[in-house]
Order: sequence, then C-alpha cells, then structure tokens
Amino acid sequence: MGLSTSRSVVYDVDVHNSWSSDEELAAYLPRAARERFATAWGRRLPAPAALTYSRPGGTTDRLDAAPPEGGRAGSRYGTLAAQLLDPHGIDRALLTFNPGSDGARHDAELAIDVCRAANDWLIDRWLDGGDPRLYGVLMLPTATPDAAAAEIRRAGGHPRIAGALMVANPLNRPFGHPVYRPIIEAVAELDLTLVAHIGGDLRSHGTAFASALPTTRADAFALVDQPAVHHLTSLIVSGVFEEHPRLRLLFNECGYTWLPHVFWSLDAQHAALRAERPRLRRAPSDYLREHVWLSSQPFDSAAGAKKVLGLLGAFGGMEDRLCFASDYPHHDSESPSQVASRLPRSWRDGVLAGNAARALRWPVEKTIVERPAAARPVEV
Amino acid sequence: MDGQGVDVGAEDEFAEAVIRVVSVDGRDVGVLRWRGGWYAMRNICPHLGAPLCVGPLQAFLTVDDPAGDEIVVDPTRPMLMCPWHRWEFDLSTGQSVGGKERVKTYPVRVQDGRVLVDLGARRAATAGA
Amino acid sequence: MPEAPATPPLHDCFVRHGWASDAELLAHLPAGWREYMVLHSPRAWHDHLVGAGPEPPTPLTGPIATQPGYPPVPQVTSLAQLCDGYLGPAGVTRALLVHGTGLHVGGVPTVRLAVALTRALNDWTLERWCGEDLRVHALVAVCSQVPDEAATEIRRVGGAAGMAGVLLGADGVSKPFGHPLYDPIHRAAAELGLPLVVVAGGDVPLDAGAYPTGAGFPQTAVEMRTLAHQSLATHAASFLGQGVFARYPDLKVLLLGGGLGWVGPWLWRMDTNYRAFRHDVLWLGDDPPSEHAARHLRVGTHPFDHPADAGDAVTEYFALEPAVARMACFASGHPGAGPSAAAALGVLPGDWAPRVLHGNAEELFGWA
Repeated sequence: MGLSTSRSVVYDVDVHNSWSSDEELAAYLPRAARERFATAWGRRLPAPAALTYSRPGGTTDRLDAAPPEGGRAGSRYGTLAAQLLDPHGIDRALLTFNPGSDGARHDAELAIDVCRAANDWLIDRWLDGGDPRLYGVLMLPTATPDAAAAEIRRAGGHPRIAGALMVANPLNRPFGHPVYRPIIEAVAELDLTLVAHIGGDLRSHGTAFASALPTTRADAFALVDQPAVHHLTSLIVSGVFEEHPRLRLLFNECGYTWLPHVFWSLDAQHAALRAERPRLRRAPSDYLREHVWLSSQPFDSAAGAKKVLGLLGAFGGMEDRLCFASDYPHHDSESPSQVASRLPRSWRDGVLAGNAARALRWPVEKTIVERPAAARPVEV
Repeated sequence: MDGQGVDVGAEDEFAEAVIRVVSVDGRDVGVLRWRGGWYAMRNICPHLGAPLCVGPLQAFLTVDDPAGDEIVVDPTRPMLMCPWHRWEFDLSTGQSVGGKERVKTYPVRVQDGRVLVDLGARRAATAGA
Repeated sequence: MPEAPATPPLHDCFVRHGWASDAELLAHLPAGWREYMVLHSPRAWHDHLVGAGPEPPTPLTGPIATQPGYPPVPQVTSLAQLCDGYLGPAGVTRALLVHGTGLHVGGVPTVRLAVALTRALNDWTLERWCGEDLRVHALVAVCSQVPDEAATEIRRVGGAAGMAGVLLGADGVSKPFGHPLYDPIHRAAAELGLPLVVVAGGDVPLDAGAYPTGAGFPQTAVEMRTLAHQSLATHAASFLGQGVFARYPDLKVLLLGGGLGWVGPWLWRMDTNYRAFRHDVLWLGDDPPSEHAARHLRVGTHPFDHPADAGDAVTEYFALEPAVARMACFASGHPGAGPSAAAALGVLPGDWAPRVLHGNAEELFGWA
C-alpha cells in the first residue's frame, strides 16, 4: 500500500504530543499556580460529553494510540516513536501539543503559568530527551499577547523550538487584529515560524463557525476550517508580511481546497483592499505564495486525489506550499507514503520535506537515530 | 474451498460480542460470536490498513422514519468501526457504509465444540491465538 | 414578418430592492405601531408625520434597522427604476427581489415590532413591486425569531401573485436555519411549495449574537465579501445534518450572496465526514450529503470574483465538480457590483449555461 518513502527525507509538521496526566504538567508549575491548577475552576472547564459534539469512540484520536501504560494518546514517547517516527521514517517531527488550546483557558492569568510550564515540560521531556528527530512549538497565552510575547522571548531561543503556536480564539478576534501584534513581533524578532492550528475556538469561548453553532459533529467537522480561513485572510490583509518580510506562517490541519476561491476573490478585490489597507502593495496571493505554508491535513477522501490535485492545479499548483503532516494521533492521521502516493512525482520531495524545511528554516537531511532504547527519553 | 476450515479454538473460549483476534498462517483474523451467529474478518482496514478489530463493535443503527426523531437498533447486524477514520463495516458482508471498501470476511462454523474459520483456497494449516 | 431569433431566457435570482424613505413602510403599519415609529423618528420627520411641519428634504432613515459603520446596501427603490434601468437593457426575463435593508428587518431585537415590520414589508412589496410586471418576483420576509409568527405570515401572503419564496435574512436567535426550532417555517414553506432563500449578511445585526465569519468580526469589507460563503455553509450544513429534506422532500433552499466557488470543496468535506459521523446524520439515509445537496440546495453566482487573467483556471476549477452545475443559478446582486450574465458564462464550463441562466431557476420557482 502506498509507496516506500524510506529513502526520502520526511518532515512531519504536525504531531500532537500531550502530558499523560495533569499531575505531570503540574510538576512544572510554580507552587501557587499548582494549587490553583488543581482546583476544578483552574483546570479547563470540564465539558461533559452531553455538552459538546459527540465523538465516535469517545475521542477524536486514533483508538489504537492510547499508550499501553496508560495516559492520553500522544503522551508517551515510546508509543509515539513506535507508531509514527520509526515505522514511517520520520526525520523530523514538529510537536504541536494535544490540545494546544490549553494556553487559551478561561483563567487568563493561570494560562500564562500553564504555558510556561507546558513549554518547560516540552523542552525537558521531549526536546532534550535524546531523540534528534523531535522539534517543538511554544504554547502561548494568546489572550494576553504581551505575556505571550514575553514567553516567546523567554523560551524561543532553544535550538529545538521552531515556532510559536496560535490556536483557539479567547479574544474572539482574527489573528491579523492589531491586538496580536506583540506576538507577531516577538516571532519575527526571534526568526521563529508562526504556527497556527485549527481547533479550540469553542473551548476558548471564541467564534468557531460563521453565523451559528452547527447542530452535529458531522456538519461541524465540514465547517471546521472556517476560523482558519478567516485567520489567514486576516493575517494577510493586516500587512504583517509587509512589516516583517522574513515572517513565515505555517497553518496546520485546516485543509487547502478552499484556497482557490478565497484567494481569487481577494486578488480580484486588490484595489478595494488597498483602499482599506494601503500598505498592501502586492496581491494577497503573492503573500500566500511567499510566506505561507499549509499542512497536508485533512484530506478530502470523498473527492479523491484526482479532483483535489485538479483543484490545486487550477490554482497554479501548491507543490511548494504543502507540508506533510501525519496529524498523529488524530483519528484521520496519515502516513507519508499515503500522502506521497497521491501526489505527482515532482511534488513529493517538496511536500515530504523541502517545504517544511523552508517554512521552519531547517536543512533537508536524513536524521541518524541511535537504535539503543537507552538513548530514548526517560519515561515516567 | 476445502469445507474443513481452520480450528481457531473451542466454542466456549469466545465470549459473546467480543472480537478475538487469532493469527492464522500469518494473517490476523478477528473472530466474533454475536447473537447466535459467527463472524470472521481480516484485522486490516481496507482503507489505510488500520488494525480494524481495535475499533468499537456495535449493532447497526438506522432510522425507520427519516422524518422522525428516533434511532432504531438492528441487533442482527454487527458493525465494526475502524479505530482510525471511524468508517463502519457490516460484518455480515464486509461492506463499508457509504463507500465501496470491503473488509475480507470468512465463513465460520462450529463443529463438535470447535470453531472453524474457512480461509478459502489459501488454507492455512496452523492457527494460534 | 419573420420571427426574431429566440433569445434564451435570463433569470436573475438576486436583485436587491428597498424603500427610498422609511415613510413608505410606515404607511403599511397598523395605527399603533405607526405612531410608535413616528415617536422614534428624527424630530423634523416626527413633526411632519404628526401634521405639524413640512416634509423634510431628506428621506426618513433611522427608525428601521440600519447598520452603523457599514455603507448602505445598494438597492433599487422603484419598479420603474428596476424595469427600465435594468431588466429591459440587460434582457432579464425574470427577476427575484430579495431586499436590501429589508433583509435585516426580521432581526430587529424589539420582537413585536419586528413582526409588525415584516408584515408591513410584505404588504409594501406586494403593493409597490408585484402584480404589475410579470417578470418581477418577490419573497415573503419573516421574523425568524418567532417561527410560529413567521409561519403565519408565510400563510398570509405566500400565495399572493408574485411571491416566489420565503426569505431567511436576519438570524434572530443564532441557530442555523436547519435547526428544528425553525420547523414551523420549513413546514409552511413546504406546504405552499415555496423555496427558502438564505442570504449572506443576515447575521450582521447586533441581536444575532454571532459573527458572519469564523473567527470574529472581519476587519475589512473585502474579507466580509470574500468570506460571505461561510455563513451560507453553516446554514446549508444544518439543513442536511438535521434531515430537513427528509421531513419535507419537496423543499428547496436557495443560498445567495456567497458566490459559487465554495460549493464543490464543501461538498467533498461533507461527504468525507459523512463516513466518519454517519450516526449524527442517520436521517440522510444511504445517500451521501452531496446527493441531498444537489437535489435540494441551489446557489446564486454572486459575488463572482476572480482576477481577470484567471478565466481559464476558473473554468477548470468549476469543471471538477459537476454537481455544482445542478445547483448554480444566475444571480447578479444588482445594483451592487455583481457579475453580468456574460461575465459568469465566460468562465463557467460551456455546457452549464442553460441551467445557470434559466433552467435551475425555472425548476426551483416553477418559472416555465
């Protein structure tokens, strides 16, 4: 099935790792915050199954991803390596948290402490753990952009930190809104990649869907790209890519079949847009093609590869913009060979590694992994 | 077809509504006892190769009246949901719901208290749990 | 005399009409609500309306829903302007009036007033726009905040000559229009054989409690236009997900104001998710959402924005999903900046023309 990618360089830009229990994270919190974190109000507001959309199998993760020793999917290095990194020859994996919206919790002050703890935990348990394939992004308290910028400057210099994560929407504003400028400036200053990801909008009590809440997960999941599309148009029209010519944006798990109609529309209105945002010298799609990368997830399997590639072809191709993402351990995760098998040969190297390398300022090279199990990070 | 089948265990080793995966000639096969019937299916999702038998097993859900509000349970049709993309497979036929994919299924019979899975032409000689 | 070569019909499913002065609508309100509105009018108009002053030089605007901070929606304000200024010159054979400012009237938060205003709006539409020119068709405006009242209004005027459908503009309670809350509206429309018409932008009024796009209020008008389809997608998904078409097998829904481009990829996503989340939408039966969509949903072509040099690419794009050809209806958005029929046809796949220009609208509205 699929085709062998074992000799290709493979970079995976969206791997969701998690702490196995709240206690594991709490160890990284300052004492006062630890007590607060242990209260019901300090944790994320619990959402009983009846209060959110139901999930077949009780989770949106792969049902075989739960680690044998317990804990959440994506919480144990051993399982993650055995299910993803080793069998699929992943040379670099960008760890993006599961979920990354913990930084958008309702208690905005606690969120600042939680993000510091999460980033220290990420570096300690994963990035400094001895596996050279692991890279990460910083979790940000996005409701407090000044604090988020401070966190980027505190932890963003670690050599394995490749980006800063924007997810959820506690301020209920699109990411190009001026309120977020401190975050953009810090990311640009440290030459990190701005990594945006869908999800968490509802949990953070932000807008998640245009006009109204969908009535089932079936329709909600078909509309889940709406905030992402809006965040992307907002960032582009805000002019951040004029202000920061080296800024790079990687948008994960929001699909890409909406690109043609959205960017044709924006480009057609370039004159009107310049009247609203005079600093936008170039057509919106020019910024897309120079500053923005999108992950390969999710794939609209009902359409099939032919239609999807036809769509991208009509848009002038996206072979230099799409980045392979397994989206492990989410239920619709994919392997590099599955993604590669539906791409034209000339797209494969770029989608599997080359594009991520440019998005994340990485070289393109195989990673040599020491096989002895002792070299792996310590499991707790 | 040899009409014999591979012996995968004693009948009373199979609990009701629990899929037991046995290895037959290198192939992982799930075997199920469900409301008096027996089912066997390949433990590989035909979509992307997920370990199918990890998924939840449940009776087929449908509606009698599409204009109504009630969900109807059809206990005669055991359905297996893939642990990855959550596609459903009807174990009576192997057919996926809403798509063309079909999981390989095998005839099962019980003889003298032993459960026999008919793997067809490529008959296996040995089985192990 | 030789017959002139037959020109194919051109049906335009999206023309905005409105009133020049709020005073036009006030004349159709019952006495009590009329006096209420007079009381809430600017002083010069108040004095005029109670007989204590001359007619002010500027039209009355203000008591009826307006949108501060947004430019007024361009709209035609008289039948003569519509017929002589647009239908004749553009060769339009049928036109569907979908309101400009009137789109929001049902969302006025003072709900009893909203009900009275929508009644007045429909009587005004019937009196000023319908019956005289057979090319002109209109929609029953409803106050969707109170679906039973809305159903009563549909039954009151839905059978009048010239009424072709039911307008779902302002979304007064922030539920998507397929929600069972709106069943009385679905039922009344189905009983009268009237399609429902959802127009993007109905979510702008303050009372809607939701935003027109996925990540909070858009910062620019350009994004508002580019992302207008998101609102339509939310509503459309709810009609499918809630099995509305299983309850009312002949009901159709026309989606206006978000263009056509979003439809194909959205169908793909709906079908993909159907396989994972079938148990949420058992009411769809064995057919994937795209088949229900092709049977029951219609989509207007406005806005039709693409760069001038992208024509061939746009053609290639639309040809990927033939289901859209069954759904597309020419919609100009007149008098706003919308596509001419020629512009739309210049880039849609060649064999779509008969359906887009008139065929789909004929089926939808019974315009033979």
